[in-house]
Amino acid sequence: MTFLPELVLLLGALALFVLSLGEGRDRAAQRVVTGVAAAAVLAALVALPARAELFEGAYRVDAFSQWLKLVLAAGFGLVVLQQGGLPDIPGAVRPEYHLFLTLSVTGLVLLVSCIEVITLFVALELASLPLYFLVAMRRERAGQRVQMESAIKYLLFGVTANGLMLFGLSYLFGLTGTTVLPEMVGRLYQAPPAAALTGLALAFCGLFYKLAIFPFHFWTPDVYQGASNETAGYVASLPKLGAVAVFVRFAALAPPDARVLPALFTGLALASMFYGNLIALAQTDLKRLLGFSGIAHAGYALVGFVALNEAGYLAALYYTVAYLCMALACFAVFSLLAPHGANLALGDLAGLHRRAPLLAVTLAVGVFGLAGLPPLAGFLGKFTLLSAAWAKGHTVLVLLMVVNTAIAVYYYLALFREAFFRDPPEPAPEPVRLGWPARALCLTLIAAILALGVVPGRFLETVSRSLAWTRPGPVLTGQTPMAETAAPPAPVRDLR
Amino acid sequence: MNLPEPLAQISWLSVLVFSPLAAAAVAAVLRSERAVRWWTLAATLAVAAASVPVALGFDPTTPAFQFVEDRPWIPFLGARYTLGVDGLSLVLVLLTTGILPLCVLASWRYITTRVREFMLGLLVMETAMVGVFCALDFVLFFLFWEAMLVPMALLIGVWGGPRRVYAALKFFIYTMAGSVFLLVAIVALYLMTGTFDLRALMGRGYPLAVQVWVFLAFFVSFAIKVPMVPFHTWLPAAHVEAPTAGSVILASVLLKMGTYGFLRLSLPITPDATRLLAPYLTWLSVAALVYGGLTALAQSDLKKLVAYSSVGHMGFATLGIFTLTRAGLEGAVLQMINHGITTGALFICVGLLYERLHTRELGAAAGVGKHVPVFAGFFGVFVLSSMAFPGTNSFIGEFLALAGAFEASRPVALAAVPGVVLAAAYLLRMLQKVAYGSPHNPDHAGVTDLTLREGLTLAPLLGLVFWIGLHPAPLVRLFAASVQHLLEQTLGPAAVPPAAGP
Amino acid sequence: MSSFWLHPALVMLAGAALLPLVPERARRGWLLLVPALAFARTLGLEPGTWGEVRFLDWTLVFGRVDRLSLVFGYILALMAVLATLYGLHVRRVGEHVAAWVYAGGSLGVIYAGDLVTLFVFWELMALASVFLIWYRGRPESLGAGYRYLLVHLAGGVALLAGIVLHYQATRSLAFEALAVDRPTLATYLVMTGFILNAAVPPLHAWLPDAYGEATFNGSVFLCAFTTKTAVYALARGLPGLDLLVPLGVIMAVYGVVYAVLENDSRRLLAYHIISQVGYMVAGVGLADLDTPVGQLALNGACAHAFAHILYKGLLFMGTGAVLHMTGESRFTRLGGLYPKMPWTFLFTLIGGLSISAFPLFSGFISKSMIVTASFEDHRLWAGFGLMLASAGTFLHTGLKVPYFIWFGENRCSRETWERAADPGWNMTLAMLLTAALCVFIGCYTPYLYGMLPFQPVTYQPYTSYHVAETLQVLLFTALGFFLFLKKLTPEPTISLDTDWFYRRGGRAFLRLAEGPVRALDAWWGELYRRAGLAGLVRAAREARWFDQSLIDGAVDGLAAAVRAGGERLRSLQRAHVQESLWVALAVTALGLVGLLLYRAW
Repeated sequence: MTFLPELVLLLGALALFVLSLGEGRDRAAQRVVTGVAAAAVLAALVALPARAELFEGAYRVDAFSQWLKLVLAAGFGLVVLQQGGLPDIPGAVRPEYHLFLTLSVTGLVLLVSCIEVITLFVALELASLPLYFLVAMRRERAGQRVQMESAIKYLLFGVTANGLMLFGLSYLFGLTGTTVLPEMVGRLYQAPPAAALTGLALAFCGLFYKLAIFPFHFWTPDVYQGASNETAGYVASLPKLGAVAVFVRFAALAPPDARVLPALFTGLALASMFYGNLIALAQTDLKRLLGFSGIAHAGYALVGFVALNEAGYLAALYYTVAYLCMALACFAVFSLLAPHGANLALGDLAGLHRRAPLLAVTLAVGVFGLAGLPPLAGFLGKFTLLSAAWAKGHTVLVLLMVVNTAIAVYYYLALFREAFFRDPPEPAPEPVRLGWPARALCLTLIAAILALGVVPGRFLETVSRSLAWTRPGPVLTGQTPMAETAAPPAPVRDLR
Repeated sequence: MNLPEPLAQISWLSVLVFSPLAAAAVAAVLRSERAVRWWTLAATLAVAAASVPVALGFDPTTPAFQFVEDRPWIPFLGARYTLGVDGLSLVLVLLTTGILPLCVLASWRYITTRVREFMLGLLVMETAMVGVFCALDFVLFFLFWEAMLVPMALLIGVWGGPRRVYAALKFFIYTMAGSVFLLVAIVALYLMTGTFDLRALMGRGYPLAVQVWVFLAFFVSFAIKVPMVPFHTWLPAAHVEAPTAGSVILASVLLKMGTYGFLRLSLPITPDATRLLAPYLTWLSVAALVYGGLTALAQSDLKKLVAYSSVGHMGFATLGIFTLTRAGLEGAVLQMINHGITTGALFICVGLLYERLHTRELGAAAGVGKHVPVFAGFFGVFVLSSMAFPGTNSFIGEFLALAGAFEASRPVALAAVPGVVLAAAYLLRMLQKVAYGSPHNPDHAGVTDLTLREGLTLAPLLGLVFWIGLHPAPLVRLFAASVQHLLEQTLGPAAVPPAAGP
Repeated sequence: MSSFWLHPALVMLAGAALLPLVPERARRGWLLLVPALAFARTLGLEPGTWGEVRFLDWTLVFGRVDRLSLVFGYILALMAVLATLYGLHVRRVGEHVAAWVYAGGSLGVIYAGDLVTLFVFWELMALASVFLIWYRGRPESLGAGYRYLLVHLAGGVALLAGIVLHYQATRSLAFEALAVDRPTLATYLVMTGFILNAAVPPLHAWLPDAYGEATFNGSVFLCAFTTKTAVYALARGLPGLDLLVPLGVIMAVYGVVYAVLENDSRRLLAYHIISQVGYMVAGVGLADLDTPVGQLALNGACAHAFAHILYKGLLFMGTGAVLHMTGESRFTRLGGLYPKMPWTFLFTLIGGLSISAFPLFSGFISKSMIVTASFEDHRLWAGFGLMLASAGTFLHTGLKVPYFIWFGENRCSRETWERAADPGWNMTLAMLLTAALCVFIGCYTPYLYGMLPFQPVTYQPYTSYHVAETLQVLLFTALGFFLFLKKLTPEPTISLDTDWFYRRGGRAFLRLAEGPVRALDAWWGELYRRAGLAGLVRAAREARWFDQSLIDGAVDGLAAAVRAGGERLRSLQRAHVQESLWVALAVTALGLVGLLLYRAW
């Protein structure tokens, strides 16, 4: 019961493994994976209230992990919907594709519950390794041979980053003599700060890599470009959520009054934002463009952690979930728009409003969500991030982030422009046919983005309640924790 | 609010805000274009009608917000769904709901492609605009504020002229860049007070430094919307490319957002900073007056000319505002309304001319007046009103604004005077050319005069021009109390003379 | 509104509004009826305050009737009748409408009891009158009309600013005499507005520019209403403002000088309006109402306005008739028309004699009042200046106009000669009536004096000394005229005339005409005609350039710059994995070191 979602996914993976042994089973595999996704969502729902400590306290099932699992499962479902027939994956390996996908999701689901660094690392690897294959599995065809290269890049970067992370974890273990995060917290304070800091910083590297934060971002655009549209959609969305979850677990280690880590995060966040946004201005390949924008958004998410308090984590988590939906929306449009799975350029969107209004609207919602326009989710996300960071007095960071949003509007508008203002090229490409799963996918995403933006009340409360354990001292169950953090130390100084 | 019992139950503002959205939903599923047109017209008229009880039920004797609706929205953030109107917002709401049907009429024949989407855009715009004027919660305000961008950009970018894409993007990015600063200001205020309720944010004695920063943040976003020189350059581009209805909405309502923001937010929330900076801003407004006039004089494209004239006229509004005098503020509000009416009408006229001649070149339109006497008549009246001819609506507004300026600072007022003459110069140039210009132009042979629909589009505006011009008292009474209150908020109750004579 | 009060202006305006609806046949009747009604209404006015209307926080007074407004209302309404009769045969309805709205506007100003009402009608006049110029339809007319309207609106704005200031200071909008002993900025702004309409140099350039271009009956209206309304406004608002006396004298002389240099008969008369209005302005300036002299001066100003409206109208009718019949108004293209249009000649001559203040003609009894007042006020220079001007007046209007049009060498082109004849009955009748009035006023002084604001009028123009003195001046002038007839023969261009003046600079006022003043006027006229607008337009062009290339460029440039920055930064993102790995690790290492340093510091 407490372990249900994981079990469901593992069994699903097993079934897919069996399927993959035979030949020409891709149809069946697809059905199975869809079923698994649905089951996983149900299981996550059932397991939502579950609370437990498993495996000698290495694995904690709490509110935090459970809602994350639900979101991950739901995201899994959306990804599966978005994949459709996997046009760009050779039919022979489609079952394997599904298998790896499921395994990766399983890894993420495990990841969010791990509070013991070894298991955590294993889960992380389980979530990462299949991705390398997924990227490489794209069909080879004339003028499209980059996928191998991308996969290798991805792999190398992953290995490097994880190596650094492992190094950092070993530091932490050495300093505290324990591998269980909650116990680490207390002891880390007594440890020599310099070493503790180094350990933490290195440990974060692995997460930076997953989140695609400067300087571990280089793989992103190449991988997005190299991987098939569907894969890119997955790579861009779910793993980031897992990474942020772990990030929260680690950030909670830092003493709340730390000033060094915030400085580190500030620097990296700014670097990622400017790097991502500025280069994205110059992109024409859609997936590369979203890759760079992804870097920038990772930077935004990092802003939440600068605050190193619950409001910050909450903002970061909320923002990542929102980003998940919006990125999925964009990638879904791309994969649905390119029936043969080719990479799209900006120009290919021309006249989308004529060829497929629903897709055009989905794209618009996704793009403007990313741009942070109310009433879409992106706006509220940025809003919470800003308030959280500013409440801790990081004025410069806030202002620069605002400047970045202004810059980013430019290239998001470029997508919008192509889709709505340009007329379709001559001869007009045939209008896109959308099956009901596709429609359902689009509508779900639109609804999700809007709902997160307009009526986020329930969601935010759930998340903040689930973050109770991050609060120092006695657990407060105040209805509006934001307001409590909002009490200004000295507003004048903040604003100068 | 004093409405008969059954009516008093209805939460009118929510109706006003969301009925256009509902209408849009219906229009989305309608089949034929004709049906969409008529439906949209009916819907906008219905909304206009729905705004009547608000006007009637409004109690002009008190500056308090009325028709207030207050429901929790995002309790977690402390953001609430709070609507309410005082005199200032009421008149603007009426202006908005009143203008929209005319926009539909004006685009009846102008818009031929993708009518449904166009009408959807109009309706969504209406929701957003009314929402901005009604919102009393900062998050809600900002939500509506930004929600205007996308449909407006669509109106320009899809149905606009040759350089529409450039214009639309420029409009979008420019205004967006402005509004992010508004967002920053909102967050800052929130962090200081822990509330988003505008009423609660007003009149707290924030430290001056804070006020100045917040004021500057406000200023950037509002000055871009107004637009004040030198933040105006998106305006001509947008106006020239936008379709008639788009230009009308831009001129009549969107530009008012900026001045409304000043009145609703800058003055009451940051009074000290306002008093500190007002002198410079009056000079900036005067600069806008003269600058807009000069630039308009040099335009040969009718739409551009009117667009730059907007810069000048809005300069009058901001001038009135920052004189921080009763006359000035009342003049500013009147000027906002009048500009909405007159410039909207002028844009409609230019649109009609364009439908007939397929050009907006002043030279090409020269002398067309002889063939279309009725049109020339309307056009003449609106031009006169735009140059604040006595007896038309703008006169009283500009007179009050000028009076306020004289009260505040004599040099500013004297510097503003040439602006008025300039306005006369370019407007007369336009009128003389269009009405009397070159004697014979073969292209004007087959030009037809106004049809009934077009007459109906312009007639209400004509009526308003004279009604406000000759009998502005009822209109002024609507917002006089609010202006008085606003002054007390800004200058402190002691500094304000009791309401007697402007 | 208090009990309804029928405003004479309302009659004119309503009549104008209905005119287009009146069927073709009934139109002439209507044209005669409406002004007559308005005139009758002015006769029926009772002194008092009427037609008060609440407007916002002010009370607007549409009907403030006293002796001053009565006399002006009377003559203006009368002039509306005559001028309409004169233009009765004009087919263009719009022209009549414009003329009537114009007349209505001036009546509205006359009876306005508060400054807002004044301003409203003031602007109405400016706007309506421009059509009388535009209707001539020549390109020059369009340009002249545009300039005319602009200048008047500018004046209006100055007036408005003055009003607002006055209101700020006194919290009162009542249109009464401003405190002229302590003139403030408001006073001067209001004065600017007024004297612009009164065509006081240097604000006069619009007058010859526009009146010369107006339609033949348009000029008749124009010459009557705008300037006289301004004189009324001055007399009402700024009586006894000292500044006005020198201004008036300068006007009087100035106008004469340029009238002499003018070749176009109508432009000559236009300049001459300036000169005549100068008398009135001077009179108003002298009018310190507490002293009998001041009262005499104001009476004089009113009387002169009254007389002037008539004889100037008459003169414009005459020359207008010539223009109407022959299509020509330049002396160099006219002459010897006496046998063709004798009646026109007769009436024009009467006008000329009246304007030259010839005894027994209207000008005499009015102008002499002002001159006398100036002498009694011990402002000799003013008095002499005015007398000098009247001599010049006689020279060019009394003699030059009739002589070179109806006598002198016949320079008419063939068709001009063919077309020349006495005009239609209505024009002749109008001229006849006006001429009769001029003579009647001149001979029967009580008629005019009885209407003047300050009663009783003790002044007696027909003293032997006064008559003799006037005759001396005039006859001397006449002598000079016929002696130098050859030299006075008009030339197509001004420069040759003045060239002659250089060679034979004799009389004092001709010397005045030399170099500086003439140059000034020429320059000013140029400035007004060309530089005024062209300069504005040039400034406008520069503003547009600034807007498009600088401001717009800055905005777009910023966007482009950011984008270019992106392009450049892009080179960081290279495909080589080894490279990027290096960067990543290097940054990490640096970051760590930096962290530790930061912590240590």
